[in-house]
Amino acid sequence: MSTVAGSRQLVRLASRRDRIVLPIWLYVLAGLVGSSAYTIKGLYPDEASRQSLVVAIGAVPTAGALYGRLVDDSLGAITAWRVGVLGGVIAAVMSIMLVSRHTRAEEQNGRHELVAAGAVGRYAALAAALQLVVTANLLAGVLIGAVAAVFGLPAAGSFALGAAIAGSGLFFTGLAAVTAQVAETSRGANGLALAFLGLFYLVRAAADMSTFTWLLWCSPIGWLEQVRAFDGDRWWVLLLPVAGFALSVALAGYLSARRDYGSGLLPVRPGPAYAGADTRGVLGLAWRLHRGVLAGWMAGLFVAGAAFGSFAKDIDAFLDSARVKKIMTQLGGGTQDPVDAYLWTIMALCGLMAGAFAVSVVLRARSEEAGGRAEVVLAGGVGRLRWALSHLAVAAVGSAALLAVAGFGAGLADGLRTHDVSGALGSLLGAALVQWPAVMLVAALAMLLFGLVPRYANAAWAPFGLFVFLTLVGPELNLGQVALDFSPFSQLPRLPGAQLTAVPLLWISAIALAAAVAGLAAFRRRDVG
Amino acid sequence: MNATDVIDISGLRKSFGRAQALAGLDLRVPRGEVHGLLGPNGAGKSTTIRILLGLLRSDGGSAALFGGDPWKDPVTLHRRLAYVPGDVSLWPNLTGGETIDLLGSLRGGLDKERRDGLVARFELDPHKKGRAYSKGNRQKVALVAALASEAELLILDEPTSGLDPLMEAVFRECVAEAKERGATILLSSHILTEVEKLCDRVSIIRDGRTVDSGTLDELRQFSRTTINARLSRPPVGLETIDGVYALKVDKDEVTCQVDPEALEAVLRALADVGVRTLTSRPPTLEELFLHYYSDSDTAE
Repeated sequence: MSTVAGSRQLVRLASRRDRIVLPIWLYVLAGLVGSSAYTIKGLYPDEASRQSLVVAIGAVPTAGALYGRLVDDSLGAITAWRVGVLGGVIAAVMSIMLVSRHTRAEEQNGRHELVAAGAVGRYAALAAALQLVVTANLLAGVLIGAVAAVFGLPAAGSFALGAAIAGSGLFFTGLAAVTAQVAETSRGANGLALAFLGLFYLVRAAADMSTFTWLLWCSPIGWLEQVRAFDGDRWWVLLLPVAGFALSVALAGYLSARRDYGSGLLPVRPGPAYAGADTRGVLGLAWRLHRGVLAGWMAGLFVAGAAFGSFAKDIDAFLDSARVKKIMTQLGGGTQDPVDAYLWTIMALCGLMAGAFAVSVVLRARSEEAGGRAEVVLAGGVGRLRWALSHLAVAAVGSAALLAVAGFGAGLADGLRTHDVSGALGSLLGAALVQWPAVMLVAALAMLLFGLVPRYANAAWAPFGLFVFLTLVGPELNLGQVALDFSPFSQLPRLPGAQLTAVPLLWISAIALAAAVAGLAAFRRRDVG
Repeated sequence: MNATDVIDISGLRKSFGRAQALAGLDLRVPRGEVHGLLGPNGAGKSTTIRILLGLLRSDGGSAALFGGDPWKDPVTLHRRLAYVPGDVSLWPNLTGGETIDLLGSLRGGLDKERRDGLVARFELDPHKKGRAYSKGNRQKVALVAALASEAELLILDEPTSGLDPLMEAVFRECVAEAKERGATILLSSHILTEVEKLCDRVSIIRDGRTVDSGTLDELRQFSRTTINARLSRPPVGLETIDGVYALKVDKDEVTCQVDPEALEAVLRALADVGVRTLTSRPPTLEELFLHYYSDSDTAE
């Protein structure tokens, strides 16, 4: 077909550019499933222990807020419950990032123009990106199936789980192809697609925590649960993501033929001819660069905080047996009251999201430098330190604001239901803000890498990913306190409910400060460009 | 070192890994001068400018800006200069007008009246977002921001490579006005007519070294003269004279390029066979640069 002529070469080019990133994504997905399958087998060796887990999870809809409902007590079903939704989200994020990177980002930076002027069909770039990402998802599915089967789970269920996760990735591949046509920048395309992912995740959470189970059919992440790997293996459900993918791709093709090269679908409005008072100076620039993204994150974290906060009251109602209470307490990670344990989990999650925001803000300094825009700023009367600090300042203030709105949303929602708004607000705002030193630590690590090894600044996502893994998955994998303590997020006082101790906050802040100072000092000494 | 020198570089060296970008570069720009920085791609022009701006750290030699060290004291020095990079990259979500004001504010403000005048003269639409501008328009944004400032020194790295001829003319006017105000200008360029019209002195650099520096007349003085003569008889022995190049003999017509030292010998040889017409002209700028740039042709 002439409309996709040249796509084969483009797939080769893309897979060469992704030769490091792609294996990492696949390794994370397969590793997540493998390590969970292995440790769950060790944690729940007999029927009785598994049944008590199912009772605990089943009795408390809120326990399924993060991972979904657990219905069957087989080892496979527990593994699928534990990693299914998370795996689906990771596959979705991978797909969204990769599609944007190979479509809109290429168009935005002008490289695609060079390619499109060759003997290359109109849809070649889109087709090549889709081919690469679909292949990545299929590979991930097969790998997950194989890894789970190797750890002794039934083969059919293992591959059904792999297929369900790949299905989620497939759906968001299509969705990202559409947002890449709509938004004018790759940042915008990513943001739009990730907002959909968040929305679908919340729809799924609402379905799993209420009696409206039909809502699960309204979310691609819910479809993943409906496959019921190891519990019936309903392969036909996979037709849904496949159909969704096909429809999205058709829509993306239709849209791409109806827009101009380099532009999005949203009309470009003329802006002001003069800079306002807030766009002056180096801090003004940093504020302008980050304010849109910050607004999006704030809205997302407020909605997430409010949604999860509103479920907190239901927990006590379901806690009838002492055994359930005990198991819930274990799952929550040691705090006494299960409601507090639940709220702590939610706040830790918000802390991780704020950490992702802070890392992305600090790394923006690197993309400003690599894009040649730092040069004109630094050639003005602006010291390097001030310029780098302007980004760090937005990361610090922005992430504090994110935590505040998350705590405010959760406190407001919980308070309205328990008729104690001021009490809930106070305790949840505190629980959210206590995450801040750990957030600043990941931001400071990004600054350290930016100063020392600017080309590899993106490696700042690696320690962050490790902290996410240790905080979210670590406790259930019985990794041992030494390993868990490696994550600053695990060191924080477990508010609400626990004692607020200053010691961990102080030394996390001290490490963050040291890393930031070292990064800034290194940046002052190195070449810019 | 001269106190009136705005830029004083000597023996500057810089390597990126194994690649040597500068190997002992010299550059001197006195106050109030428009100085052209010329050289083939990869000669080290942009590296020199980035060291002057304190963005890169030199490996050796010295670079002084307003008598100060650009690496140690960038902020106070930068308040006195304005810079237009060769490849202007703008913030996609800021309009051109906002970018101009922003860049001005980083330098401590700009003359609003002059700014508006420049926007009009360059026919720039300040309402457009950064991502919507073409290369030439991005360059105009950076130029307006630089020219609207009260900077004592303008550092312009191939500032007109994306401008159309009309805008180039506007640019030349603006540079002349800046010079009149007393500004010093360092202009890196490939456009020879522009250099010829604007620059008081030029420095030619190659492979990270300064190969020559001076006014254009001075440079020409030491370069080959092109001679065309119609003779009474075919010439004899011209090809044996050292310093004669590109010799073409077509019956009684001779064309060749001659080094200054060989001029006398060539004229004598021509006179011996009888000269009917003779034209000689200094090298065009293009010939001058081809001479300096090309590898095979360099007379060490």
